[in-house]
Amino acid sequence: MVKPIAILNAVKSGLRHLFFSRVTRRYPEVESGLPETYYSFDPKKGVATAGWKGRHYLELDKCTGCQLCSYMCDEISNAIIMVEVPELKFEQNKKSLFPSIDYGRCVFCGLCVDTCPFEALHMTPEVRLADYDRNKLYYSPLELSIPPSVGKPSYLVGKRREAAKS
Amino acid sequence: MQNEVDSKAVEAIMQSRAEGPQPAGVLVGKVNEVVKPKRVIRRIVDYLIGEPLTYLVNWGRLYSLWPTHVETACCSVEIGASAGPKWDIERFGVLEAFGSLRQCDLMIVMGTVTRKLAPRLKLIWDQMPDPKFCIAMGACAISGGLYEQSYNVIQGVNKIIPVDVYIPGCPPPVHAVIDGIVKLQEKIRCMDLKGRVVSESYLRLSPKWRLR
Repeated sequence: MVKPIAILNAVKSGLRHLFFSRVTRRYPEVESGLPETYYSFDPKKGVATAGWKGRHYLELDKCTGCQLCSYMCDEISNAIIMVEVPELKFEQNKKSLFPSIDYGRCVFCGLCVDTCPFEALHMTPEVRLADYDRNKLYYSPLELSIPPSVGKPSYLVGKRREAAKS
Repeated sequence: MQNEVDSKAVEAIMQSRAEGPQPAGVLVGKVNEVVKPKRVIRRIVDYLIGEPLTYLVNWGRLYSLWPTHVETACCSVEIGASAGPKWDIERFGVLEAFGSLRQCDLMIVMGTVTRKLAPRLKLIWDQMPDPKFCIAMGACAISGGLYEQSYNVIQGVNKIIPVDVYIPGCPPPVHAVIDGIVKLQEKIRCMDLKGRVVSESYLRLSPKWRLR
């Protein structure tokens, strides 16, 4: 048996929620909900610090083509393939071998970032990678070398916070 | 004799340079084209009735994407999160759950598709009415993902059914899910009444959608 006053309770709570601030985020129009930091390796601590994991960012002038990232990825999802790009010539990379990543297979675990001894790989907060074509999910080293539009490496932000605390 | 240059070819090249680059042959109308009354009537009908009608029908298809969830793995959690009040995918017309298969437009495959599930997946796809769209979500649905070398997992749903949009991630965050749905809507905008993609303008996305 429902009491008739119980209906009034519902009306009351509905009226109360009229004056609350909006909960739903206007996402595709307004960027929201993403942290400002991205997953990257801290050379001093020797540990990669937590951050947002999206598309990779490859620094071409640091990469030596040592293939450690692709060896690491072989045991997980086999997403990284080393590619020879003869147009790119750097002093430290004489064979011009660079990693290219298949995002159809990548699971964004971040182990390639951890293993890179030259801190050339980072992960950016760019997660909008959806595409119509399966073949467009293969990213070449040149596409990976585009720096992220927003965000900073997570260990830098952590330092600032610690400095602010002390 | 080999060093001599053909004068006619040089003249042709000079002439083409003077005229400048010409547009593609599709856009240029022929001068001596015989105007057929049937074709003119068809064009007028297309302009007056066909184009507004396709626009209306596409508008209806865009904002009523009712999904069937094929939930076999953790990607379904992200769909649950995107259906919540914080990221409301009902703004785009995607319901979080719907009862009958035969009234659905969209199939979201989330998770691994094993050999045992594959005939059932095809059965579900065949039961849905045309036009229908498919989203492959997560690494497992796109290419097998972590179970790439498994004997029992199918490497990619696109071997069984045609896929419209791929959303990479393991699992993809809510941002990526909403982005995939918006991109699918942009694709539907370029379709005709029978559900075929007419123009390919959806392939060049505005930079607003490409970033992040």
